[in-house]
Amino acid sequence: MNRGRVAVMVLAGLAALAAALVLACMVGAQPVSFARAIAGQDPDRTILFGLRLPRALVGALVGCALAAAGTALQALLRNPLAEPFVLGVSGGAALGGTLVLVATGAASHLLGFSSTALGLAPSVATGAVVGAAGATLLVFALGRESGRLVPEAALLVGVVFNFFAAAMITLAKLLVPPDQALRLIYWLTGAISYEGGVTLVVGVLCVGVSVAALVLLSGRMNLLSLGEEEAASLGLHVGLSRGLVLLAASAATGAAVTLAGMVGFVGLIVPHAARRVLGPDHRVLVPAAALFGAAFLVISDAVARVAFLLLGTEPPVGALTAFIGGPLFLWLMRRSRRPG
Amino acid sequence: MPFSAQEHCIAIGLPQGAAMPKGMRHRCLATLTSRSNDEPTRVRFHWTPRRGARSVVCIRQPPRPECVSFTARAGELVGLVGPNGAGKSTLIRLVAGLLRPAAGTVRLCELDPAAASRRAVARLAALVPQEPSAAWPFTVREAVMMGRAPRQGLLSLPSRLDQSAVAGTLEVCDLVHLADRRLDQLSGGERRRVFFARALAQEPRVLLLDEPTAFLDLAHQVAAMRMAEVAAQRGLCVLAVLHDLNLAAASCSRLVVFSRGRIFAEGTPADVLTAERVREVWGVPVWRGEDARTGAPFVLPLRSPPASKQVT
Repeated sequence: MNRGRVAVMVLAGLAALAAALVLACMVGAQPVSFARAIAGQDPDRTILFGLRLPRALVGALVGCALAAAGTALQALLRNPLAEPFVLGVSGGAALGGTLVLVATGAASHLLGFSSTALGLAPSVATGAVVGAAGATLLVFALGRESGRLVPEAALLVGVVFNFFAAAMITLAKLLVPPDQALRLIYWLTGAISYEGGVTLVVGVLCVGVSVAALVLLSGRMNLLSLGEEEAASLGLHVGLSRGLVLLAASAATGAAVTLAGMVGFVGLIVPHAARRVLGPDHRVLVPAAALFGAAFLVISDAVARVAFLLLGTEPPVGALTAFIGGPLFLWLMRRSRRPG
Repeated sequence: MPFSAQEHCIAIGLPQGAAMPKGMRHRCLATLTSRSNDEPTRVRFHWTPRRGARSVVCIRQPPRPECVSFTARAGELVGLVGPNGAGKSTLIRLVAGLLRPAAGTVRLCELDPAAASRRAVARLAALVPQEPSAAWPFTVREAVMMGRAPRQGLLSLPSRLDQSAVAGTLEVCDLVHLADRRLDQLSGGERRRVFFARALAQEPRVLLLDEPTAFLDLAHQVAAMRMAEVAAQRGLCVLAVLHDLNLAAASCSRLVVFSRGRIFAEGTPADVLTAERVREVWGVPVWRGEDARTGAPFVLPLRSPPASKQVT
């Protein structure tokens, strides 16, 4: 690992993120002037600091978390196809969050006060993290054959678990009042909305802690990516290290799902591109994926906002990332089958 | 204990009359017999695979209590030979602490490898796996640097000492010109050399080689054994699982013959490798010769009897 190269990469990532944030603040249905917004004149100030900047920041958090989690899961599964969405980790998080929402909805109904908002962010986030961790454990426990992790089997378990989680969420939608069901649907489509206040703070905390943990664990990911026995013979406590990485990746995914629902393939696209440029050293790869993943999703969300402006609608950013990530997944799968 | 830890790098054994823990299932059993000790110690080995290495296949024969003891010293190149599934790989995994013996003791430089911290074990024993993984295309230098991991901190930031150790290892293993190549761009023999270099970069006292010559052409086989010999000459204790008896006889200072989970014979290649023993252990009739220069024995499989009958 070359420390100079890491510094250059971190600076480039921060620059890309800053450029993406500025770009996302500039584009939109309404032209705004930065000068007037900073001077405190409405409506520019409200549009910029009340709507566009918070939304761009949410996008940055989600992209950062998903890309870092994807890199970590790929190291554990030793396969470039591993990704929070494909592996069912996002599905688990969505299921966990939904169950918390339904439970709090029922409780508030019984206790006689109304709570239709998704404003219970901390409890939803907890449910999402627990759900993500449960899904990850399931995938890594069932994706084994005679004690050895089989990447293809684990991916299949993840895909099937996704269907299961989707079915459970559909059931949950029937149990809640229509207005709450609508919110659930919009949340889970993978759309970044205009958030603020508590949600943003909770998001920053969750994503910050979990991604920092993943960066600290990145040296161990290098060894884990060699396989269990080799990692153990190089002095790694495999069970403990893998558990920590799984926990951190689950927490990052849970936070991302809480903020933006099911945004797929970010954890596939960004690490793949970063690995092509920077090589497979996770100590470089994890921070790079976190920074460029943030920039990537901010720009993707900005594109999603303005692409269909003429029609007067906007697709969720999850649709855009799936549009890029789906074909990339298939291409990577074909390529990994080719010998040599 | 019949072993003095100062003298032996590896000592496996159990005091006389030690009982197997109650309720222990006979998942696997290996029994090793020592003929070098004056008094053979009766020891039973049962081991249950440790977490993270559960896939390692152990001995499938029904459990039979037998005598066990095996030691290896610094500067020795010990060849572990025997039919498939006889317990050779199990032994080196026991020494590496990847398997936990359910009964009996394993000592690696006075340490219990299954109970000690992974880092401490990795500083003493380095394992060169049979089919090293290359899931991601690390460069040769990065791969060898991973051998320094047990001596590095959380982020594995290389110190000046690590840098010089890796540079020295690359030189010893003739990898300097390949240092910045990616693993997936190397030939099988070159890649094997990289993982040997990674093990040397660990600066271990015990080197465990799992079939270091498998899938290699003749030149690379000879080169691999030469590197093992050099490592032993430099004072390492080298255990190598080998299938090529002639290669093993030519290189190793001692051979240990495994058969059905037991040590069948042990000693210098010339003593151990007799035609009768090979036929008994491998079930193959052989003709035994001797290298006139070195005295090392070699064996050639004989034609099956029906073919020779047709000739006469």
